[in-house]
Amino acid sequence: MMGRYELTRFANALWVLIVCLVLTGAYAYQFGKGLNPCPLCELQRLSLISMAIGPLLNLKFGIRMGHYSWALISALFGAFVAMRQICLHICPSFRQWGVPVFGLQLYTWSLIVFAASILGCALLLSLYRAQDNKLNPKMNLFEGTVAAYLILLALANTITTLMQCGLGPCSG
Amino acid sequence: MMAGLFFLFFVALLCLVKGQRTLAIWFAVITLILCAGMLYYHATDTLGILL
Repeated sequence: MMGRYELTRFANALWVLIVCLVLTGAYAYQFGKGLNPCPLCELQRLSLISMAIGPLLNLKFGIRMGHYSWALISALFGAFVAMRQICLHICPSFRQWGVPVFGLQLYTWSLIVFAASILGCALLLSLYRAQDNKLNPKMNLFEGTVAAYLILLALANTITTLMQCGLGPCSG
Repeated sequence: MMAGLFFLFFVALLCLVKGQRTLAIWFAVITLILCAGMLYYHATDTLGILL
């Protein structure tokens, strides 16, 4: 039976893993369908990586309110970008960007992921206790693996974006 | 520029796993501010880019 602290750490690691799987899914979509991501899609990927830094800080340096607040700020920024993209395509006469996945566009899924992350963060904050930030255990194998997975994805995104956009601002 | 933002987050993550908490947070904060700048840049010419 997991205690509250172990459950919180596991939930943080799971959060990072889900972000990694979403980023991997975006890659599968990009290469499977042969569609390059638009600038707003790239910004949503950046927001996902930024958001995952929050729970990763919790795993590495102990659970703190500041780490959750970083994840929330990033999630709100990502949700704002996703909402902007939805609004750009909301008129029926405007063409959609990309192919729908399970009936929804990727940017709609992106908004759902950010909204779910905000909800998840609120639930994790309810499990927070002040003494948690004094504990600073080492990352276990699962936590280390998800951290390495995220770093690999950040590096892969750097390379593929460099190949797609060069050193420019990425014109879509 | 967009690749540079991914690279900065990559550096922030490397700092994080190496135990450099303050440096990792600074890199992340600066990169997210630059992301907001990039959003503004694209928002000023959105129709030309997306449609």
